[in-house]
Amino acid sequence: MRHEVFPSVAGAARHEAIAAWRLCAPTLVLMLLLLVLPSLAVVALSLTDAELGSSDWHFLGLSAYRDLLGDRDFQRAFRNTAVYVGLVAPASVLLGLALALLIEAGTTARAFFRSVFFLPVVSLIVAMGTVWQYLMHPTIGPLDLLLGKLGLPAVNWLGTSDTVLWGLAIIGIWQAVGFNMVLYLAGLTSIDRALYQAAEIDGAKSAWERFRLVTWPMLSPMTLFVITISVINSVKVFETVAALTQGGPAKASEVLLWSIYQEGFVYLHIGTASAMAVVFVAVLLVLILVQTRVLERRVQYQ
Amino acid sequence: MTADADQPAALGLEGISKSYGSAAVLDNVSLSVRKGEFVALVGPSGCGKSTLLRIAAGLEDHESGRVVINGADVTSARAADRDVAMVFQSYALYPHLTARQNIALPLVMRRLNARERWPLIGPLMSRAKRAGIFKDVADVADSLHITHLLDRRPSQLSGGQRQRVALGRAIVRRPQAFLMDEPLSNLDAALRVAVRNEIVDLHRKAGAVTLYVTHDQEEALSMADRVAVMLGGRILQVGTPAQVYQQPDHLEVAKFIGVPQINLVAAIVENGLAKAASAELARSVAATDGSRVTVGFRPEDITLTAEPAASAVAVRVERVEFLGAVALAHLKTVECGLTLTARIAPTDASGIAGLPSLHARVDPDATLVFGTSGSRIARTTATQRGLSDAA
Repeated sequence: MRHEVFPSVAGAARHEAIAAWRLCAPTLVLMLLLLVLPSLAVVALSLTDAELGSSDWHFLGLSAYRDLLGDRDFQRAFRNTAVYVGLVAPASVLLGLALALLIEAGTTARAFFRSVFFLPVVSLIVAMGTVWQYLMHPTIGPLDLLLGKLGLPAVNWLGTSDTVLWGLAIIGIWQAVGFNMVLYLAGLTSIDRALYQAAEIDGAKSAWERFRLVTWPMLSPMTLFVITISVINSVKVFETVAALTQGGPAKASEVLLWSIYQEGFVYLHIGTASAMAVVFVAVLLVLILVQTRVLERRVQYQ
Repeated sequence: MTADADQPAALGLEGISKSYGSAAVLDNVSLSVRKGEFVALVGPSGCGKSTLLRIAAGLEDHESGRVVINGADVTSARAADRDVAMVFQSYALYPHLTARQNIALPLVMRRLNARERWPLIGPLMSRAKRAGIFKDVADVADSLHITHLLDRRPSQLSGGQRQRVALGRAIVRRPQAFLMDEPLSNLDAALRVAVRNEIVDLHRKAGAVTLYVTHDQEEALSMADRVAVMLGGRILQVGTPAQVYQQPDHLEVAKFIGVPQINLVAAIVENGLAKAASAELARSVAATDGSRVTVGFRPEDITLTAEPAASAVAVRVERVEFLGAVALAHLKTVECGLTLTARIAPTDASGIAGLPSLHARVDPDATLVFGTSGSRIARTTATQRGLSDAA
């Protein structure tokens, strides 16, 4: 007679696998319900001509995507978004770094400066929009009064199609700089002071040399993160457009999210809006992938 | 070793004071390192030794005093202009550069101008200089046995290898002085001894002026030509390892140097004899009758006998510690309940533990006597052991 004191190895492994699935189940269910299914639903809707309020819908396949490719409005929204991102992301990253360096180098009122520059991040952009509308007003706005004092012509920032993206970009940068600054401040405080001392002893006399030798390389993992976050946030520009320009004038400030909103919530074309949303997410994913692949190789030291 | 005392200091710190707010960190500290000398600055953490080293390097401000390197007053010179090299406890290697680039960096910063350091075009304009740097780095790497590691990043190196690269970065420039800030304390015990020997070897070959900060007295005693003992922001004694151990100038030095700690017994002076209860602990003490003193003697100065002897006190064995080459007996005197530590032969360790009582004796001419201020009190006759060694 043999007594099995321990269950067989294969049995133990199966028990463990079952236990693992049971422990993961709550998370898996929630992830499916909240993340995977909604995403799949958007993809599914994008293949139909569904409209909100109408129960009658047909499967159209990829025709919505084909239409988007030829749609001049969508192309313009795409281009406008690219210009906006091209203005806001680099500027907010560089200004965020500059502010962080200045605050870190200073000795007094650091908490004050940190809070002040972080204010736009926590402020309601829709409410602040009215302030910006006043600031950028072509006749009474202080910004144009300043330009006038400098002998430059007044600019109707939000009112002409040539400048509206620049106007929105200025607001976007104003809003994003504080967040990047806080991230860079965290990155700066984690740099080993001994590295600066070593750099000084090794002969890096100027602040620029020490920045090149220590600060910039040590911050590069943070820079990768800041760039990624800045691109994602600026691609998602919506509130300022909705509050200040409504895509105008003459659709010069129509951006991707604004187009999706118009299509889905104003014209109630759920199918088309879903297709746009899928394209939007795909573009974002490609951007992030390219960034991390290209930059990550250069920033991983550990 | 006192023959070259009047030689000018290669690295001189003169009357350095520093305080953070109202707390004085360094109180009028002076220390000079002579040409080719290795001086260890030892003290417990927080005594100000690292601050003093960073002041010597030019990395920290101080309120008063001068820093002199080879006769030149560099007090107001920046670290980059002082021509000193420093080795850090945390290695402080640049993580994005390879070992080769790390070692080459001080040469790149000094020998190449800003334009020659530019990427791409820089190397074309400075080919000869770069070849020289390359060769110097290769020579240093060879002497440290790290040639095969030169293309690795610091993250791919072990602690000992990193510290060797950091040493390479320091010696490649042939600076006027080396400043080392606890370079071994992040290494494990076995590695510490190996790198310790390497540093001593390097020093012996190059003979460069070295100021070495450590909290580890074993490191200080074993590596240095002279040891400076620092406590509470002041240097209490500077001397050879033997002097610091055998003839500490100050009670605090005696307490800090030596493992296990020196035995200390309070005593009263009578007719030049320092006595505690009936035991005669020190002879020929130059102090007035009735003055209170502290008598110190090392664990190896205690003689234990089974039979009572003249001026011996009865002790009980509390515990015996077997350490391999030696053993320590923790004793308690029967009369006063004082605890003492005696070093005994390891062969006696098991025998002694079983005995109910023993008799401990010290040579009254070999003990150290400290006054209430903590300073060591001189003996009227120079019979004290150790004095003859140093003279």
